[in-house]
Formats: sequence, C-alpha cells, structure tokens
Amino acid sequence: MRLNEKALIRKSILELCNTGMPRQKSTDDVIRTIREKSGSEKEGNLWEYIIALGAQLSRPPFDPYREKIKLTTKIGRKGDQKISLKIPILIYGKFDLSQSSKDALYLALDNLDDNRSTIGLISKDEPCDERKYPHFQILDDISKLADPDGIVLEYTGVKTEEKIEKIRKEFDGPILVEVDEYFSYYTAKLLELGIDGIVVNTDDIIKSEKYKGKHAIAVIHDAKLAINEFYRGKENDGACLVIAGDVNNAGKMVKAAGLGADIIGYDTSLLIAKVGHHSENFFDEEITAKKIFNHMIATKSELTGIPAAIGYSDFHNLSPSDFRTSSIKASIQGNIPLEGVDKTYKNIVEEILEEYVNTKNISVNQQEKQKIINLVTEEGN
Amino acid sequence: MCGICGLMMDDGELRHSPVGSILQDMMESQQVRAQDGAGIAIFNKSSAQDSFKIKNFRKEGISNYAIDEVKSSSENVSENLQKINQNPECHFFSFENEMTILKETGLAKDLDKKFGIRKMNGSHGIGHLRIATSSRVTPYNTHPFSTTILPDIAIVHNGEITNYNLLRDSLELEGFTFHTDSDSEVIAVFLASRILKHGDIEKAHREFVAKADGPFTYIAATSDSIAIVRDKFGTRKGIIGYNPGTNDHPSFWAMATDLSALDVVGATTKIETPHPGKPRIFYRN
Repeated sequence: MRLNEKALIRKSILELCNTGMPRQKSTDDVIRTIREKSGSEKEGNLWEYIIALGAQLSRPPFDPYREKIKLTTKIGRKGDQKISLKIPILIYGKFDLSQSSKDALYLALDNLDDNRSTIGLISKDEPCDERKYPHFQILDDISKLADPDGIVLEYTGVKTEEKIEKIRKEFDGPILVEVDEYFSYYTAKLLELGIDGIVVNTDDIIKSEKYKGKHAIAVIHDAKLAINEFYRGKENDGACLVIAGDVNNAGKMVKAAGLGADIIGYDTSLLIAKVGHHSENFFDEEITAKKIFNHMIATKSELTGIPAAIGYSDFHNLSPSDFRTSSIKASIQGNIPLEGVDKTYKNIVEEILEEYVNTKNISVNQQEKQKIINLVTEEGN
Repeated sequence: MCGICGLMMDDGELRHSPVGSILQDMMESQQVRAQDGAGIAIFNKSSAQDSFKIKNFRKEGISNYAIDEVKSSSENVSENLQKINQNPECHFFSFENEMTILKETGLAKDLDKKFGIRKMNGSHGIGHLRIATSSRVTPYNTHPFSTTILPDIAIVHNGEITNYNLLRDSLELEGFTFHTDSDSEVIAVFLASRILKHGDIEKAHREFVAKADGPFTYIAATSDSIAIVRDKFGTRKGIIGYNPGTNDHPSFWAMATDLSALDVVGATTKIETPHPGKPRIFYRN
C-alpha cells in the first residue's frame, strides 16, 4: 500500500473519531479513485478488503483448539468411494512440467502422505503405480482411463453429460467436473448425474463476458449457491466445491473457504517444482521435493491459524459471517457483512426498502421488492 | 457462564413427583453463575391428549412482552404453525404437547414467584440460568428453546456454538425455520430435524457433536428422554449424580453445570462427568 493511501485511511479514521458520523463512501472507493487518477489501471483486489473477525469474549479460542484444528476433507458422495485429504488442497495448475520436475513433485506428495499431511494431485498424466497420494486424472478421452483415484472432466456441454453417465457406471471413485462461467445453469444436472463436485477456475471465469468486472469472490459465492440450490430441502451428501485459479496463498485459502470452498486447487507447488531447474545449477529431485514439502507443511500451519483465532476446531466451519469488509463491492459479490454495521449491503438495502414501503404505505409485492433490491445492488456493484 | 440443570425421575409414570421444586432448588443454587434470565421445561402432561399449545411473545410497549397461546388439535396444528413461520412480527416461544415451558428475564426466584415453579409436577425437566453474551436480554432469547418442527423438544445450553451461522444456513437450506438470533436455538432445530429424518435421538446427539464446533454443554429433553452432551474437547463443565430416594422422596438422576446443584438436592451418589463428545442419555421408564 502506498504512503498516500495509508494517510487517507488514517484521515478517514480520525474523521470518524472527530465527527462520529458514518462514512459516505468506503475507504477503498476513495483509494481506488486516487489510483485511477494517478493512472493506475490495476483495480483494487477485493481479497485485500476482507478481514477475519478475531475471537471475541463470547467466542474464545481455547488451547485444545489451537492444538487440534481439523483440516481433513473427504471427496466423494458415497461412503465407500470417499477420498480423504489431510490438507484441503489438490495440486492443480496449467503449467507444463519436465519429467524431473514431475518426479520431484510426486516424491514430495508421497513424503507428505508419510507425514500425515496428504494432499492430492489433479493432472493429465497417468498416475504412478506405487503412489501414496490420491491422483485425479484429467480425462479428455474415456479410453485413456488409467488407474486413478478420481477423475476430472472438463465441461463441454451435453457430451460431458453423456461421458459422466458412461463413466459413473464403470468407475466408483469421485468424479469432479471443471465448469465454465455458465455453471449455475447446469451444476444441478451434473450432481443429478452423480458427480461428486465441481472445479471452478476463478482466473478463467472472471475473464469471461458473464463475469466481466467481477472478482473471484463473486465466482466462489455463485458456485456455492449453485450447489446449495441443488440441495434445497435436503442435506448435502458430500458434494464439494474445488476453487482453483486466484487462490495462491494461505490468506486467500482461508477467505475462499469462508465463502464456500471445500478444497483449494493450488498451483504454487507446481511453480516450485518448475523453478527447481532455474534456481539450481543442476536439478536435484530431492532438494526440490524437500522445498515443495516444506512449503506445504508451512501452509498447513498457516491454514490452522485463523480458524483457531476465531474459535473453531475445524477449518471447514468458516463462513462469510466470520469476515468483515470495508468494500461495498466485496459485500455485494461475496455476501460479506460490512465493517461497523455487521450487515451485508444487501441486508441494508432490504431494510431501507422495507421501512420506506411501510412509512409511505405503498403496496409492493415480494417479487417487486426483489427486483428493486437486485437493481440497487447491481448498481452498487 | 450460564447455568444448566436437569433431572429424570426413576419412575416416569409418577406424575406427582416434585420435579418443579427440585429444579428450582438446582437453579437457585447456581444463581451466582448468571442473572439475566431463567427458564424451565417440565414434562407434565399425557401424550394421549390431542392438544397442542403454540406460545408466542407479543411486544407490549418498549420493553414489555405478553404471551399469546394458540391451542390446536392435530388437525389444525400444521396450519397454525405455518402462520407463525410466515409472520416476521411473531417471536416464537414454544410448541408444547406433553411439556410446559416457562421463561422470563431476571432471577430464578422471580420465575418461581411469577409462575409457581415449585408446585409443578412431572416426570422430568430441565432448567436454565442465562447470562447474555451475544444476544439481548429479552424473554425470547431466554432458554429453554424449542422448535416449530416438532413439539416437546426443549434444550438448555451453556457455552458457544461457534459455527452457528454455518449450521443455521445449512438447516435453513433444508427448509427449517429459526425464530431467534441465539446460537442455542440451532441445537433444538438440529435435533428436531434429525428426529424427523431417522427418529433416533442418540444418533441425533452424536451427529450434532460431530458437526458443532466451540465450547459447549447442553441438556436436551424430549417427551421420553433427557440427555447431557459436552463438546468433543470437554471445555465446558457438566456433572451427573443420583439420588436413591427415601420413603418420602422418589429417586432420580440429576445433572447440572455445578456440583453445588447436585449437593442441594442430594444427588450425590454415582457421581460422574459425561465423557466429552459422548451423549449421556436417560430414558423415561
């Protein structure tokens, strides 16, 4: 953050202290204005405007929690075909790796499993025979099905649905589908066909016309909503949401989990494997594997920190109510409560509308109210 | 730092047991823990009667409340419940068939003065002393909590369900309605939802412990059971004792937050602390 931006935040806080009046604009809007005027084309990253609420008097962190934060995640909707990850991460990225980099990665994944820190891998390659970690094979062609623990299919329309129907009959393990920006239209259908979860690449989706100008948090929020919509009126039997793309550090992972992600598709380990060639005079498989291993163990520790401070013993208990944002845009896109008022922007609009309708004694039905709320929140967005 | 207590008489058919009096003693002995509200649920009616009571709070003025009571039969109870679920102005109080819930802000002795708790009989019951931490001091945030899903489920709770929002969201998604902002209500709604699903109260408690996070102990009563449940780390207190009874006094199991509550009613044999994460259930004989 720049010095003038820090000064602006300080000024804003002092103003609040002096006047006791609420701000007309969120601080990040003002900062964005400064950035735009100074010619910066980079839009404010909404991740930065989301903070986790620390433990309060009534929600104290206890030592037992600090010592036992559960990260274990199951993939699969049927009891006998579930895969267990000790850290909710599937290594997944769109890098081409040399064979030696791949070997270093496989070694690191095996070592992590030995140390009760199992994470999985999503890859187009055929799974190694004596691996210890779960391997999800990306399958373009059904005939190339090797012996993976899980399958990832890319959604390409009706053909994918036909593929799912065929594979589901032959394959007992989890099937995940990487979706495009129109996931809200067909996620329910895919779950009906028996898939075990969807993979959402936020980097790809925010480049689409449908999500133009929106942030990764909007994609995560909508994807969770799409899964919830399928389960309306019944209990979720284990369908998972894998968020990949823009989630490349522990802070973002925690925030993504709070917004609804069950598992993170993480590519930093692939980068470490890739740069093993460039940072050393020679490529040492064991040294590179050790770096990947250490990075993942450190990430594991970081992932337990925030849930522990909030008073959770399970990483997956995070929810949007554990976060606050100073950004109206983040509040709308991620349904996150705003700082100070502890209500989402949408809740505030609903309350104002309700009060206005009652005061003016206007007859507005629920459908019309929803239309007005959507209009106002879209404007704010 | 709320105080909770409960008891189950050995002879479940003994409708003249002094349940109210014992509960009142147990609550008053723990009064030092909390002073913002007090409430009881006592099972004192026969299941044979086709009579349901739906009680609601009605606000009178700025800080006063009155309680409305709608009597229903099995024919129109669903319709009356639906009206409550759809009315945002309504503050749901309880849904009763065999039980009676009474609760108010203030001290336990004030509750007795207002409702005559000591004169109440029944087979089992639970009590609560509230200190407000996350929601306002109002009668509708006072325990015990029940649900509009099933009648005769009452819970009292000491502690925090930290993943309350997540549990509530998923239960609302399943179609269940909440009526307060209290994290304790989620226990009642969760138990009711699982009883509806598989009818096994022990399984329902185990499922709740598996899903709930945070430090808590709760006591839950249904028409034929009472259970004390601690979180999986045992970070909140809970103790059980047995009073073997005398010629004048029937025998009963008692449970509470503090040992003082067991002392005062003579439930000082077979003392045990429920194992963290494992529901300890007593069924009505």
